[in-house]
Amino acid sequence: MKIKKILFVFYCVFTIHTIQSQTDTVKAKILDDGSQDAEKFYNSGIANFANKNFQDALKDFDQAITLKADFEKAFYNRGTTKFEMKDYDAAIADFDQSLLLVQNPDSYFSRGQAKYALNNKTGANADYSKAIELKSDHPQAYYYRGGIKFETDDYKGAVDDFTQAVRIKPDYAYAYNDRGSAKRQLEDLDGAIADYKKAITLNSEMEFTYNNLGSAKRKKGDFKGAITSYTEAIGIKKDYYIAYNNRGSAKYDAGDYDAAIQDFTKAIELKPDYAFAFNNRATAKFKVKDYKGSADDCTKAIQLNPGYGYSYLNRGIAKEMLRDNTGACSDWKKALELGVESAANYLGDCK
Amino acid sequence: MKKLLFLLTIVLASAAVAQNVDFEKENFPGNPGFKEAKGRLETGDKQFEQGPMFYKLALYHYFAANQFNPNNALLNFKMGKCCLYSINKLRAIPFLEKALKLNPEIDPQAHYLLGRAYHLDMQWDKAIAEFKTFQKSLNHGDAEETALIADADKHIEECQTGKELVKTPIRVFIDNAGPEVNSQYPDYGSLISADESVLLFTSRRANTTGGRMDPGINEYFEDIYMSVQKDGKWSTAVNMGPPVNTDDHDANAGLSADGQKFLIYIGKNNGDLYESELKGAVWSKPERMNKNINTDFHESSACYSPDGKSVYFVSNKPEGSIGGGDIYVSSKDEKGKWGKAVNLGAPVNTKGNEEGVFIHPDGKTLYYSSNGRKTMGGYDIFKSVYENGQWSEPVNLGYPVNTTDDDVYFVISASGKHGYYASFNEKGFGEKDIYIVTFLGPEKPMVLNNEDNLLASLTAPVKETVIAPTIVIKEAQLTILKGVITDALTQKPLEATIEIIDNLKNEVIASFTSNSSSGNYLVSLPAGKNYGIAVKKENYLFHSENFDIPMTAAFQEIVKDVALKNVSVGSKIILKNIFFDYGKSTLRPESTSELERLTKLLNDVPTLKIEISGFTDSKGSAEFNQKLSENRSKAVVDYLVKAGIAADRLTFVGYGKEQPIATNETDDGRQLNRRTEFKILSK
Repeated sequence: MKIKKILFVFYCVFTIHTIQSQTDTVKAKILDDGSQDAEKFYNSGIANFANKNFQDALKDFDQAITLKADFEKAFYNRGTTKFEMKDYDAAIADFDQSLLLVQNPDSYFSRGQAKYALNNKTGANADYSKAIELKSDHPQAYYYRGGIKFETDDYKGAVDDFTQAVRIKPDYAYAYNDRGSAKRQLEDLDGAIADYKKAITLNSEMEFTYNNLGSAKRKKGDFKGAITSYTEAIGIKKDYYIAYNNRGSAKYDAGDYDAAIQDFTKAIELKPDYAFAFNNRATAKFKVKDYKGSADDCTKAIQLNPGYGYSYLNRGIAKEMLRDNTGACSDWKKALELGVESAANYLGDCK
Repeated sequence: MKKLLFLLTIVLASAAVAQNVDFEKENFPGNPGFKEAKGRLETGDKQFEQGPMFYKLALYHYFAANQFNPNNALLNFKMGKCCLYSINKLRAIPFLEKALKLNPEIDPQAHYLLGRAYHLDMQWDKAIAEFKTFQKSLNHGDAEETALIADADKHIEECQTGKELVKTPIRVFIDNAGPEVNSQYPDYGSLISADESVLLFTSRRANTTGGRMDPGINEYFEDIYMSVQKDGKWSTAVNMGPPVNTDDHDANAGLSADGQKFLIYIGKNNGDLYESELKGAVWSKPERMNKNINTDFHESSACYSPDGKSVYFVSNKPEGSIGGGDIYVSSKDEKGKWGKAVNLGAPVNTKGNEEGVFIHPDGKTLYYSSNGRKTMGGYDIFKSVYENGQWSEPVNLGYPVNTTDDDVYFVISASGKHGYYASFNEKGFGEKDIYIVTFLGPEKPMVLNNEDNLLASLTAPVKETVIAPTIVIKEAQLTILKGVITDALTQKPLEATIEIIDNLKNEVIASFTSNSSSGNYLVSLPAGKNYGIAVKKENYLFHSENFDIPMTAAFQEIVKDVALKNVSVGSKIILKNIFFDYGKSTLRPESTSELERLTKLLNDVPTLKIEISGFTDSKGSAEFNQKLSENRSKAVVDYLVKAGIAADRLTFVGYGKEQPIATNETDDGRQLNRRTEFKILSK
């Protein structure tokens, strides 16, 4: 079989030379023996991955693994490809195989990412920890583990991990943003503001950091500063409805209810199903004594989110001013049912 | 357009020159209305001169006069003053403003009155400015005018208090009690039972008992009326009739918590307090309370304590007073008689006047009106709580329960949710009406909801999973093997078959022929292997040799020119691809191809007889070399015999180190000398 292959090459070369010129040299080339075919499939897989031809990449990595059953990197890359294709369970299986062959911190990290995608935060946390154990200067592993701690309300732990991330990678803007958020949750507003500002100096295009900075300032009572930061966020991302909703709230806090209504309205324009903005516009309308408008906005928010306890609470307050005590009591009872405990304070006069 | 501008200019010019027009005939020549207007003015003036009680009547005539001549400063001033004493006080503003505009010197009091009107209208800063202007017109050395200055100061303070109170209004609904309760006549002095089922109030209606009118103010005498609430609706108020109501003024003062006892103010003896009791469905004839309560002075409002054992009341008696009207409490003694009245003292009572006392059904919260504390105008309603043996510092109930006008006779329901009081409002049913205040309590804060993008990784995820890098493929280094195949004798190019052999695998990996016209060939070979090359042509002795191309070798060209020998007797061919173990005569496996080719040659030319000869280099002893070379050539012969070649066609001989073909001084030379040859003995 092999000889035929070689001869075929030879004749081709010969023919070409015969036709093309008077060259009278007979040429032949001996092909290699295929001993690195697995690696070639592997490399081809990487090329296909780079070109986002994930299906072809998968086939290549399959071939590589078929040819070389202990091809750890091929398992890893196939896992990565499956991750990209959102086939997280299969990705985890490949990372498992990779880890049976080599204790690679990146395999733990990637498996952690896949587990997180499957909402297995405990598993992801363990994998990130293992990656850190194997490679103590793995900033991403610290960063994402910090994120999990944040999401599980371990804000102090999150701050510690984000701190490690920025120690290893001082230009890690995301880690500064997230550490700022964790500090904010710990009521360290000055620390949060400092981190958000640092993140912005590292990457001035992170509109969400400006938004977060605005919210930290708002929480600190610096409504003017908050409005400025939200405006910066909106400047970067014109359709940033969250920042419009927040800026409206800061304007509300500052007592500028008409301007607040404008911002909430803009947020609604950008996201017509944004229940928060309807609810908040209701609060501002209440302040300008547009009680009917307020109740109507709450109704809209409730339509968008039937479990929206606070909007029931607010609509009850608006209905009270509309002299609809029955409706108000009904709404406060519903709010209480939905977990808004403060509604109980208003039920005293309800029959 | 020009015409419009012209008219506008005329109007503005007229306004600018508007000036006082006296009610003199020469100012209205030929105007038949003058006489009538002048008459109305004079009639109004007569009423006006009799004092505030007659301002209402004066105003009636002044309106007519003013309609004829609106630009009389004095008339406008008087009308403003009358309005200020009327039920609708705010009407005073335009008259007083106009009076001062027509004649800034019309009357120093005009600024005071305008200040009062602005004050009532909650135009705080304008009011303060008018009061200050008024103060400048007064003589600070004169005792009477100093008192006026102090009065203006009090109003200025009220304005400042008002400014503050309206900034933080209390949350209330204020509703007119409705047509069933209120009337076109003055309705005021409301009282309610603890459960808000019974409402008693005072009114000056046409069906007053005895039908008498107060000549001074042209209003009916006061009577007490009652309305009952059922299913949230008040019944049509009815005159309680005799014996509660008499031919005199009968005003309600207080109602017991159970609604069974009733305190009545009757205007006899400068105003005294009476009690009536509900017996069955009939109220008993009011009985005058004893001298511990009633004096020769004015006892006005009163209320029972929730247990009915005490009565709180207001008296302006000088004895035991802190100042003006004060609040007193009297309790029943063991015989059921009202005991000695005790002044509640400070901080409830002040140097000013207290009025409209009401004790809440909780028995400890006192509501009352005072003009002796910081108010936003006249009397304001205050609340004080009796705790730990003393009354707390009274607290202003705040705006809008309190207003710039006098706020008195405020009562509150047991639930604390509703208050009742009287006020004038243009939108009411006429004169003062009963209003119900619904307290909404502290502001119910609405809740805003916000979200942030706290975690960057969730907001703008970045691809963190990195694919492992490519692996460098160890491409075999290519070596070019090329050369020319010629006839050894004629040196003419030959078209010969060239075979490339992987010696290790004993496998022909390429087979091709050299160019027939040039004899050239070229082949690319991967490095890292030991190759054999065999060149064959019919009737020529084949040529073979082997060579290594190490893996590490860089690209290289190897030239192998081969001159094939015609098979002729005596020709010698070196078998370059025959290998032996070192120092032995054992054929190595790599020799197989060469030996097969030799076998094939012998088979192809069956008549051929050959001699196999072995040679060594010069190293080692001659005897050893001789023997080794002989054994090696014999090994080749043995192979051939074993391969089926007749033994008689084969001979072998060992030459040892004899007949070297290269120097024995170098490795390369010695390698060439270590060889196996065959020689054609016959064809």
